[in-house]
Amino acid sequence: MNRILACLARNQLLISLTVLALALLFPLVFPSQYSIRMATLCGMYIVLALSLNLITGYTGQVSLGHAAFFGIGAYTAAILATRFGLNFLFTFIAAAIVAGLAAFLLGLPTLKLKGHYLAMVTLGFCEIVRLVEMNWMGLTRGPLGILNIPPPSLWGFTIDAPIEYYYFIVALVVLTIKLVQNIVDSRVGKGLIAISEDEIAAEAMGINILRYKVMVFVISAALAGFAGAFYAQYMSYIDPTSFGTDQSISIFIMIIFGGLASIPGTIIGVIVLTLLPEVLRGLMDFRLIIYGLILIAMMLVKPEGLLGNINFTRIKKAADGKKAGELK
Amino acid sequence: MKNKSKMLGLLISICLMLSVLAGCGPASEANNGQAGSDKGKSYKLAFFGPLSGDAMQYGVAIKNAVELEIRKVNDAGGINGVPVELKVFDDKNDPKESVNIANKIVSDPEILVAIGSFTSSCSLAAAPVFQKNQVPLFSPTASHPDFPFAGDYMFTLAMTQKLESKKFAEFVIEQFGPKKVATIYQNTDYGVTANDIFVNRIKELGGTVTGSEQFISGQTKDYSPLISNIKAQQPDIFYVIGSYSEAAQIIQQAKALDLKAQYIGNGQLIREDFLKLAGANGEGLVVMSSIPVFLSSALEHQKLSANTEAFVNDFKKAYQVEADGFSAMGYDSASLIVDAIQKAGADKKGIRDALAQTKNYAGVSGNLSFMDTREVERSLINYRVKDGTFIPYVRE
Amino acid sequence: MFIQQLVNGLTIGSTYALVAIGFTLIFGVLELINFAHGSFYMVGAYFTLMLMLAMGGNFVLAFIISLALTGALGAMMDHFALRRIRERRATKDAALISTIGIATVIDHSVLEFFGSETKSFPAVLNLGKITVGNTIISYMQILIFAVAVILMGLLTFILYKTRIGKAMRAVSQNMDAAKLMGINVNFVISFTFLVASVLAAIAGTMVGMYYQAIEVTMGFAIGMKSFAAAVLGGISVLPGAMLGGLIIGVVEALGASISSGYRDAIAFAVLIIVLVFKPSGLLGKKHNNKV
Repeated sequence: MNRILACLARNQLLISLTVLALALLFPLVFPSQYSIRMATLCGMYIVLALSLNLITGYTGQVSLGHAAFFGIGAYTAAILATRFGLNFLFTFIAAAIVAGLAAFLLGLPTLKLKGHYLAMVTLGFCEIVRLVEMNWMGLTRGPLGILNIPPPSLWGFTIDAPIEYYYFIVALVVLTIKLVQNIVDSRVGKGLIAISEDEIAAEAMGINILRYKVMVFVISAALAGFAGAFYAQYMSYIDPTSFGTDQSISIFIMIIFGGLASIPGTIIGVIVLTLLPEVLRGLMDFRLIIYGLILIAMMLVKPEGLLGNINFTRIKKAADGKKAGELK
Repeated sequence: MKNKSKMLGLLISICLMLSVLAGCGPASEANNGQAGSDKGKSYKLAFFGPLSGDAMQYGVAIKNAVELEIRKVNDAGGINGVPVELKVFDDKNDPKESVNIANKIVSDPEILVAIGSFTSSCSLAAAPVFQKNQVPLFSPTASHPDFPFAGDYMFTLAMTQKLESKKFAEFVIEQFGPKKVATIYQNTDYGVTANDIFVNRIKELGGTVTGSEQFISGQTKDYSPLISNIKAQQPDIFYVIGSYSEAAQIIQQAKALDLKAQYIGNGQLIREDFLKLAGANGEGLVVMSSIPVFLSSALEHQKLSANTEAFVNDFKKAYQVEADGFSAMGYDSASLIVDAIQKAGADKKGIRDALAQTKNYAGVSGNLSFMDTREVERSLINYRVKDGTFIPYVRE
Repeated sequence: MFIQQLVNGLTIGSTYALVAIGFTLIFGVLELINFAHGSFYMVGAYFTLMLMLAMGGNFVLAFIISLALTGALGAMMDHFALRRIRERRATKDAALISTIGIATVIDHSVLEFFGSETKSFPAVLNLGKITVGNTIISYMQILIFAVAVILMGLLTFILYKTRIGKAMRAVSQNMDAAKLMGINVNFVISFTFLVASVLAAIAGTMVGMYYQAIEVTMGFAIGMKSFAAAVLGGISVLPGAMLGGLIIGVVEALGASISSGYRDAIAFAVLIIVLVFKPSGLLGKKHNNKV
């Protein structure tokens, strides 16, 4: 097992490229509209889960309100696209900015809260946002939802066919992974991990905890807003039911299931949990009971998540060190 | 050398991942499909609706009615000797799920028509997928005014709320005069639209609307703050728009807070369960409906046409429960589609055209003619609750 | 009108408080957000109703058996699903996910057995109401409030005056030290779950009686509100849960008289604002960080 992991760690680039190649080939192997759609949704959830992992996994702040930012992004994009016919470059960026701004306004006063208090605040925020979406008829059309959101188009080329959406989300996923990786590897990332391990020690080391937390919270929300914009234009119809606390909780489950603070873990967690209900569809009523049982069983067998305890960077270093030793 | 075996392990794990992905492919669909009938030797239809979750009782009733008709057709030798096959999907009353299912359905080119969904949200969300792929989507119950406008492959057997709520308001003004009306409605696509149209029509006809309160389904069971607001407005008429269980609770709590007014409700309330939940508080309630009702208590005072009676009896025999209006609409949906296939064969466009031409069809849910917008007009049937039963409404 | 809304709010608040007390108990001992608490509340109400129907309307017996069953279910949940996670010293998040899994299993099993329809709950106690001026108060409302206060008192007594209560507090302060002192930690925790689940079943039955109806989804919304109530009062402080519940109920009722659509939004907004100024809740003690 350890050897395989070491090998995986050493060949990170090769593996990433293989996975990417497989992702690119996927729609050619499984061309049905349904499988492409499921793969596209997986992609979208990967963006969402990776962004939540930034704040919850790497920084250790439990947020149960991620769907709020997802929803804010979706509504921003949908309103700008339907009312003002704005181009998707603009709607996507606006979605990210508005979601980030909301996170800034929420995070600045509340991110000093600890553990479960923060969980409750984010959960409450998610409910507030959903209620605004349901009640502000003039802006969001409330429970009627926004219909006929135009597909993204640029310079005369319109993303329309399922396969085009799929490649679009693959590109977004790659960008998100790169971004998250860069943040984690940077000085900021080290600070975040320090915060998640011991806040007081981190503060003593001169890390401005609140600034770091707010910064990463805003980035995380902006990414969720991005995913929301994609969702709105992909589905062409949104209503408030997609952005409730149950959605927040299911994203949260995905990152715990896959393993906190692990990019490959998150990806696998998302794929497994998105496809599980589909695979169990034949069981009809019993599928959610089984889904629940699988969650319980998983936490008994591997409470740290699928790839939770595996730190590829550390393994790689260890393996490299060993190799270097052998060479000498 | 070692590296090679490691790479093998890697490859195996990738394959495993891929096979999980592949689990959603057409391969797993085969498991769901019914056995028998060679390829091309059956007409395939799809049904989707809420078969689990909070609206499941409606979805199951409609599915049962659709299956009843299809069994009947197949027992009689199918359509020109070709059996009909139904694929069933559960959308859990979640629009996202219904889009997933829509994609699954259109991925199978053999499926000729889809019947679904129960709620307007799910039907509306799925509509663009069907329209784009030119597969007729036939909803037995979607009453949102936008639904028929999602495209010319959309059909609904419900009278859309634009017509229905207008008729409700006209009935109220006609029966009770231009009085003070207060409403309480469910914050859903149905509730919001129904309330808007009703309130506007009341105002147009000279009535006063003292206030409209809204609630979110599933969020709370305590409506007393809303009822206290309404009580302060002293309305003459109190219109409750909600599911039967919500309405039963609203009425019970309103009576507990001594809100004195004529209580009225709509067709969703015409169920035995409503009477059980509301108990004595339901007395005197007036219910307006555009959906047919077959409650045994209501039937004592009302005569059904021969084919409707046959449907009600067959349904009871097959499922040991009373048929309701929605199941009658589900049954009619299936019959109309079978008729259309008989005329057009396995041709989606032909089926669409045949369906659109339906005129004066004697369905079990009433006389059906599609308007240009592929919706139907129905006349209201009104009831009053008296001694714990629904009796046909007569002016007092 | 204002007084009527106050009464409405206090009634809603007492139901939140009833649920929040059990929630707080588990949080206090384990620092675990028990997402399954709302499901126990629902399942307790279902047990009472179904047993009562099965036994020809014997409410008292049905109620007692329901409390025993729900309590046993709670202890079993800890024994089979949570103990191992605890022993492996996994993160709190794992236990939290496990409670979400348990909630899913319970909710959908009840759905499978009893269907999704709202069940009418017979009016066991028909106590009538009093009218003071324009304000109407039913005796059932007073009873719910009283039960919440009594349960809170009883629990405080157990926690501070009995051996098992002392053990619970010891476990909540330091699990390892408690073990070293010879406390059977697993037993104490399972017992805590048992008590919390019994409380949930009492709450579910009371609320079912008051609204004369129960349904599968009744646990989710109230679960979130009682979480909010517990946090507002200061997690793990029992009188805080009570106070938090009542405040959220009253704010909700008054909020609804301003705008019915935003009633919950107003309640949550108040919660967030309070936490910004008092980060450990209204009655919570300021938490000193240990290095």
